[in-house]
Amino acid sequence: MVRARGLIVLTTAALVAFACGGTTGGGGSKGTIKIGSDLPVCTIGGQATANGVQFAVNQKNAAGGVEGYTIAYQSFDDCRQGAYNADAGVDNVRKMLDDKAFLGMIGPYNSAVAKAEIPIAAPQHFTMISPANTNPCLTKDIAGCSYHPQDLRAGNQNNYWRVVTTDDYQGPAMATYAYKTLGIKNVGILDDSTVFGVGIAGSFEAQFKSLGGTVAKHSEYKKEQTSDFKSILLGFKNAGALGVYVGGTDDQNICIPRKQMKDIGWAVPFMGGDGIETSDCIDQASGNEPNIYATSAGADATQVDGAKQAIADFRKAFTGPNDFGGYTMQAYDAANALMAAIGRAVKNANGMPSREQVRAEFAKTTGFKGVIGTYDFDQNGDTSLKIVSIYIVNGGLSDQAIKDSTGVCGSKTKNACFVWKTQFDFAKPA
Amino acid sequence: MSAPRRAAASRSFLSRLSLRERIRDRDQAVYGILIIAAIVFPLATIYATDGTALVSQATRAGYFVLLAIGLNVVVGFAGLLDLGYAAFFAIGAYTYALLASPQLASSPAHHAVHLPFWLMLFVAMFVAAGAGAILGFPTLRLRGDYLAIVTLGFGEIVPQLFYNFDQWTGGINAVGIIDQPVLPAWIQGPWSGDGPIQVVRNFNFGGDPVAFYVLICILIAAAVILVSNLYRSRLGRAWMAIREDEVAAAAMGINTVTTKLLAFGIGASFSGFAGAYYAADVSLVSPDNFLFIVSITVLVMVVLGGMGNISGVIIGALVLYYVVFSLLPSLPGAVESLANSIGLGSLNVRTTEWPGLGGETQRLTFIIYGAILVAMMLLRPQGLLPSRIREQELKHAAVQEEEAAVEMEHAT
Amino acid sequence: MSLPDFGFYVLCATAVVLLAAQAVIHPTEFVQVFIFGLTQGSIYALVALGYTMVYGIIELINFAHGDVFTLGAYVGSGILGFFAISESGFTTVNLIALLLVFPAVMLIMGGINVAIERVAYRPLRNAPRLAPLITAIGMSFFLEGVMFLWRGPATVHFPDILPKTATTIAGVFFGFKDIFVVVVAAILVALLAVFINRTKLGKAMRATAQDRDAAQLMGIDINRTIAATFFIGALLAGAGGMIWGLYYNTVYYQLGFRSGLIAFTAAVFGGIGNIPGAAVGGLVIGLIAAFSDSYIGSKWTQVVVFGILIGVLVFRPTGLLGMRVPEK
Repeated sequence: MVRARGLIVLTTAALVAFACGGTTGGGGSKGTIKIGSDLPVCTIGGQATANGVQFAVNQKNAAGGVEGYTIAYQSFDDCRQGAYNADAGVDNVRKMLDDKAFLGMIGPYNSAVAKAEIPIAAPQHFTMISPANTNPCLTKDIAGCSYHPQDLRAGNQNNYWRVVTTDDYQGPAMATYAYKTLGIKNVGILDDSTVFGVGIAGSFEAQFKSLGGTVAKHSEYKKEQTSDFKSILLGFKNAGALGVYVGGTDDQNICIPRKQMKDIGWAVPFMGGDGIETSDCIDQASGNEPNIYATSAGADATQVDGAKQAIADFRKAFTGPNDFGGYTMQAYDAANALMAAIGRAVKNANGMPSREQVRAEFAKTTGFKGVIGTYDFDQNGDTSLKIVSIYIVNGGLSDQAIKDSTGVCGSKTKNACFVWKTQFDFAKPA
Repeated sequence: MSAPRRAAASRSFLSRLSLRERIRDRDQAVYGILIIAAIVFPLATIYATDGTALVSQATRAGYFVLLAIGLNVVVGFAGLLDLGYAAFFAIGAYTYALLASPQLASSPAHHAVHLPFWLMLFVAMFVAAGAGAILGFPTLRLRGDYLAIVTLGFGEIVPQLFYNFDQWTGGINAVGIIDQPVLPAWIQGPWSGDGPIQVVRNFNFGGDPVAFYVLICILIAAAVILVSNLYRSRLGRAWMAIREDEVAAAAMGINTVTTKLLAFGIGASFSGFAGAYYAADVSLVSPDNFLFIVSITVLVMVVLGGMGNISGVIIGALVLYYVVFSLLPSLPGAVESLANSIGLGSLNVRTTEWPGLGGETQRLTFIIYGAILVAMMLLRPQGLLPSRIREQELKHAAVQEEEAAVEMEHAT
Repeated sequence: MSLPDFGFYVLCATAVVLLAAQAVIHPTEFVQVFIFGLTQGSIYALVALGYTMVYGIIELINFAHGDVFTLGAYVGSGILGFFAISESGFTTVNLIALLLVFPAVMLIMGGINVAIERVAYRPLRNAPRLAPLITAIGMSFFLEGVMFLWRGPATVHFPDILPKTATTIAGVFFGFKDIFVVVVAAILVALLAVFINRTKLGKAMRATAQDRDAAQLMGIDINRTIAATFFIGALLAGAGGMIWGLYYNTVYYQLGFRSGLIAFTAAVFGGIGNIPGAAVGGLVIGLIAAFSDSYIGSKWTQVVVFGILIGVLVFRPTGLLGMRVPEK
């Protein structure tokens, strides 16, 4: 009985959603094309990424939509009980596939979710563009992967692209920087047991060792199991480490070890991937912020024409302290690239295009001018943009320096911000 | 005050519906409704939404139903509190995932194994039952909640082991691309291939939610029949005796250790069964899918539905699944569009202070879920559809009173 | 000596020998890790006491207790925001704020826990045994939801107001904070022991735990005694939350669920319902976790902690100090 009542609620909600889709879609447009996103919006990072998509869609609709069509954006949440969940992601993709108006999606955020979703979306030629998946196995058939990317797509044409460079660039960039520029020959590595953390820490370790460095110890922790990192850090210190590399994200408390390094009186550089290039990381490290080194996939806004303006516009529209995250602009780019492909498909089809047409058009994307750079996609779905930027937290910045900074600042310690240092371009032979 | 009256009213409605067969046939009525719902649900939703997303969700609800039926044997029948039930689920899922995917090719074994699903269903079942027996053997003599803690510990250790032995299991990278069940070619009929009904396409489940839906319905039906018979058997009565008073049961000549071990093993085997099914359906098995929260959710389903009563547990699982996995996640969107449609769209605008109505609802979901659990238990501490025997024990007087009320209504 | 006892002693002896070997080979590291384990264990002990008291008296695994502990840290951080505290050094304001806020948080948590008991557990006292377990889980989600709504999903900063004095003696690094945690926890446990053993209410609590019906016949107000148990358990949890915040300076809304689980494990470890047992269990779990993190590898810590727990229960079914077997 309760179940039946629930169905009614659900149906009513769906009807209401339809009705309002209709009203916002009015105003002389040819109709509505939907794009979805599948992100863990219960987390800060997931919501900040969804904001990027929302912003791109708002901008596009304000400028008249795509070839006369209004874009309706729906954000699906793949969280269950507070954390991302592959089942939930699969359910969301099925919901989108059921609605013919959905021509593509942004997401997912977590590589494990992508692994479950691609096999469902591929047979329907449903375009997926991830702003954040960095696990190389999703697109590349390389050693160490437990599956082949072509198996994921089950013989269909590629339907999955990503605008971020893979872990196999971010990790090595920091390894090279640490070994060659900082002169650190011995590190301790800590990962947060997530797909992202394990992957990026592994690629750092491989490159660091191949350069001739020593890994004192590689430890891992789980957020819900470990609150005190001092024993782990002491292990690193006693094994002779002169730096710490962390693979992980701030929502897994990856920067709390930075604070605790001070508690055990150990002052060495603290390095990580884009998961720590966030204000939450600086907050977690409270009291020991300086000399956190972070990589970020993509070029810094100061290195790309027009990017600064887009970020400033975004910040004007989304003013909350956590609205802007490490993948917001990647999502913004992904949404714009998708809408551009939809636009071309509309033109070709002279009307509402099919999913296959959108997919085929997206595959032809070349020279896309985004906020994180200008790039193409290869046939596997990877971006040609292989730039990795390096940021360092400087404490005690002046007001003007904070205002000019493209990196994020802490919310507690206002004058500690990530400052762009240098970039590695893996597309160019070194 | 109004709770018993409402119960009485619904009871009178039920008794009229089943032509005065009264509570005795409540279970049959529930099963009848469930069977009809199971048949109508896919047809109705596919017709209404022109897609299979809802059917796919129903298959997810299905494996929770299986898990709840299994845990009910342990908790409801034998009265053993198991807080690590997800561990057996994990063992079943990994058994199928490792032996029916390319995973082992990249492990030290260097050879992928692809065993058929139908065989693995039973293998996974026995492996999980074996794990249950191994855990149960030394620990079942523990009294009361010490056993709960042992199972809790086991539930914490197992996913961590699957994570730690990443050479074999892929660790956090999960086992993916798991084989789909394939029907033997001799099962031909109008339901397969290009036939008119076309439930199963090309003998391969290939991610087709309807095929999985049919499969889970069959599995649940088999489980219900099996467990009902067990419940009515000598073993079932022994479980009940142990639940009510272990010392007295032992004095009556029941071998308490064997009996408890059987409850534990049989409960675990359902979990293994569900695990193999789950691995095939989702096609991705990661250590993160079997954490403590899963054990807790299944336990809540059992208690909420009515411990010891199979039909109640099924209802409990469906209700809770709907609340946790469908209602709460869709609530922010629903509230947002509701506000739009009644002219309060301004509430949806995000500002620095206000995360928008949807965002606010999103933040409220934990509170809502907690409040629902507390409220449901306070209103019906014995569960939605409690076991008749327990109900009569607990509420003997109250039942008499209600029946009197029913009679009164009939008389008028 | 029975076989299980023998197994138990073999288990203990092996652990002691392995640790002693480490202590001889790397004494500095051993002492350092011991300090880490002691501080964390002290906090677990405080939380474990609440679990063990509640379990002892109404046989309920109070899943919401860990969240009461976390809420303590949240409330403490919120109230401290009203004071002109300094995070760069220890000022008089810091001291005053600490002396005011610490007991205030304890009392607030006590009040909240009594309210929880009144709403979610008392109506179910004669219901099936697992019904209050489900409301406890529900209250746990509810409290997490309140913290989520209040401060969001990110880690929350707790003001760093203790003196930052730290020193190195013979290569071992420790600070004022480490001493603070252990000393405050020890004082609270001692006070609790005195209260339970010397006061009338403490006696009533022990009597109710032993036999509720008989206690009632002797004229003990059961409702009042159970409420008092929840109140005192939450005082300790609130203190634990404050200490946690002051020591680690970060807290997040889901912290309690898992920390609570560990603390409950500690309570079982020591023999559930046994108050000194819970304190010892907390310390032991903290030490095991620290040694495992450092000597075995952090990804095995969970396996080691729960493996030892299962082992102890198999060989010694009533816990380390289990003097009393809770019968149903």
